[in-house]
Amino acid sequence: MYKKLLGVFLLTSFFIFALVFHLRISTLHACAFDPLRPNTYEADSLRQRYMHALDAAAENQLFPGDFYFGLPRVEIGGRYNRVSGERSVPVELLRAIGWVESSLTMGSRSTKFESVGTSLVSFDCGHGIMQVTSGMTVPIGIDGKPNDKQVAVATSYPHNIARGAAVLAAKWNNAPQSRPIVGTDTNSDPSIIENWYYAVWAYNGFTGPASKKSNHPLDPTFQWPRSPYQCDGTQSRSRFPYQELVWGCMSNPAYRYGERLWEPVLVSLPNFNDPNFYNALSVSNFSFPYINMDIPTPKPSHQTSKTNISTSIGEQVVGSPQLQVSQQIVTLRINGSPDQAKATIYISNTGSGLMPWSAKSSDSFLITSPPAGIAVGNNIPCKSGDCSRVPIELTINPSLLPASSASTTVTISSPEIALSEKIQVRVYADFEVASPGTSRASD
Amino acid sequence: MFFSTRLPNVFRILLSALLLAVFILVCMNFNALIRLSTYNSDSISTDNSTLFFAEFGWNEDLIYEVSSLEPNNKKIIHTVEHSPGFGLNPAINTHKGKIAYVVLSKDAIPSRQSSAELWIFNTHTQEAVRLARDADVSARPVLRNDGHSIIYRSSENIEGSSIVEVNLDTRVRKIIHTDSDSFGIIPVGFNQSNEILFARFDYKGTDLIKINHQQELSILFHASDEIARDWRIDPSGQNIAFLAPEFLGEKIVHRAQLMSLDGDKVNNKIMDGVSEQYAPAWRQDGALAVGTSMAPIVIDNRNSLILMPPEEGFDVPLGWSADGNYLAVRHFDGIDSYTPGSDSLVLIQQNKRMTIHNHGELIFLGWNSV
Repeated sequence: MYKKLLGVFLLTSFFIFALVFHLRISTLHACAFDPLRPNTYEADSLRQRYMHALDAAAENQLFPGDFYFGLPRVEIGGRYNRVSGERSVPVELLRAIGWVESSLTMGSRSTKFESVGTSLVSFDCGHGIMQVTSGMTVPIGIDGKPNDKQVAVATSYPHNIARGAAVLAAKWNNAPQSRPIVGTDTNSDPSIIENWYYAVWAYNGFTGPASKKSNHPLDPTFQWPRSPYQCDGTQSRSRFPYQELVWGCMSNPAYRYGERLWEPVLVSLPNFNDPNFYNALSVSNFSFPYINMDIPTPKPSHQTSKTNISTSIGEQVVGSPQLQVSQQIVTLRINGSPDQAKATIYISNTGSGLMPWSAKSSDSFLITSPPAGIAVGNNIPCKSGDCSRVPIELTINPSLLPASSASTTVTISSPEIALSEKIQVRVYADFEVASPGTSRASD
Repeated sequence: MFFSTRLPNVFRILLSALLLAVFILVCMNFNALIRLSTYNSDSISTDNSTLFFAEFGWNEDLIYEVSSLEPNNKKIIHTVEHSPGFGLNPAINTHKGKIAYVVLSKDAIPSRQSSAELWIFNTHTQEAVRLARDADVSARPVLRNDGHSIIYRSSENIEGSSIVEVNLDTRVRKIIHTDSDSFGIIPVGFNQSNEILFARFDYKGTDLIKINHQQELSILFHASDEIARDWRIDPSGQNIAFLAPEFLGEKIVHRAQLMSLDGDKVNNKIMDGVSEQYAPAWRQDGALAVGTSMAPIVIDNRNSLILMPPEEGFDVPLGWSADGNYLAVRHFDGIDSYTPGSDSLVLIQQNKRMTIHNHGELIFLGWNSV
């Protein structure tokens, strides 16, 4: 009798679990990895690794030649005479944007420095240090899974920073066609930091006055006049348009342990008492493609400072990772004890540098958590846990099982290495359940 | 004899006329001085108003009350936890010790896109009540003068921003209007009939819109071809002051405007001049303070009085104490709105200025009304 009751209980639990799990999957699916979170590596609290990568990204030295992570040529010239220029963006902007976006952190607040933990993903699908949203809102890989680029952006800080720099450059380059330009009097020279005012505005959304997320500097919900943003945690961020946050952080660098993270640059904002600037930002001009919003360079203007970057810095940052997995065959049973219904495998980076990885199942009934992450080589500091050997938990979504037993394959791959590893997973779910009113032979 | 009889008649006449003119001028100015001294003779008394303000902290704001007699003797009366970096945004006014504000909860994603909570805090009972969870953290809510209602902006509707009203007696929440055609809207307040007013911004500039009790919309007036801001309704609910940009002296400057809420222009140019002006603030007796590049100027029907100017910089009026003896201002030590310098919260009383010391940004909440 107790076996029948146990069977009914298990069957009921199975269906309730399946229903809840299915609902959870269907309601939370919004960003590339939802509802799960990828893992990442958080570097040192002084941000030295990140600052190094920002320097390199500004000069296209992280992934030169890579269509997605490399910098495009940044255009120079007025609205009607733009030509391709250098592959370079002002590093001052990248530093300040990184600070405004994430306080230069790759992981969530629960992730410790020099450790592997959950990556930073905002509700609007902003990922990591540069809070990259472009291309991160839905999984765009095969079978509805995140592709390698999405994995790299979410898990690897060099990729994240490089992609942020590329997005900023794209905002600049898109300007004549879809946004206004700054620098009508300076040939819209991208080496002048002030000329990036609209591109930085667009990085956070080129939104108009009085809208929900307005970055229009004349928006009536912002205080007027307002003191410059000090970037020191003493002012509420909601009282400034995005570009003024970035301008403020360029002028007032963040401090860590008494050391400022970068040299201040007292960049100029447009003077809206000057009709040349105010009239351009008139509400009547706020319509695509914003041709009448072009403005001269705010004065005094400032040239970006070029840093000497080694051409091999990209290789140094990324390193030479080597993939290893702990086992090739896994068996799961959801008709047994709870421990048998899940398994943990380990991914190791036996080489050096950073190895972003993803774990993709060939069948949707197998869940890999985290779905992606990073394993760091022995040359990368790790203070908490083992950063070079990271766990992946395998569990079953019973509602999607095709039969009472099934097998599938989990492919572990990395965008940084050509080889991948496959893990065979067998699942058993055949319950011994008797229907009410029937009898069975005794055991 | 007052006049020497040896002077020729023509000189005696001229001298008399001159003395008469001087006498008249003195009398005219004396009239102003009488008004000033009469008004301020009350304020010099040891009366005590209570000021409420918040000090921004990265994870929590502290709400203080201070006596106007000792503005740096701060007493914490409430703590508002919030999403990192995003402090509370208070209502434009208070009502009998009730302070309303919108804020991102501590668990909210730190972004202006997150939905904010609308709270009302009773400084007398120390009770804080959450009224809504769909507010827009950017837009300041407005309390009705009788304290029975509050309006706020909600931007959760994908069709556009909404003006939402909460009845503070019943806690019933009602969407009054959703706007999908303009750049955006912000709540402004209530007229004397308790009809709701909001400002609407689009390609043509700024309009002030009224929603009557049947929820019918009407444009009260076109305020500017650009963005008008810092709307303040007088205590009677009959007039409204605001700032609108003008092209003066080869510069764009914001100037105070005054309109009646039946749509008639009261006085478009409150003051002559070309320098920029800053947020208007109504006194309970109907006088209006406007910030100027020198010092706040108080205007009533007949006179304008200059309040004590800062040694350097300029003041932006925030709000009068209920008895009209103190004006809270945001003081900037810079030159103008483009180079404002750093700011501080200052109380002005007749010939006295008192700066409230702080670590983080100070957010003016209001005065305890009587």
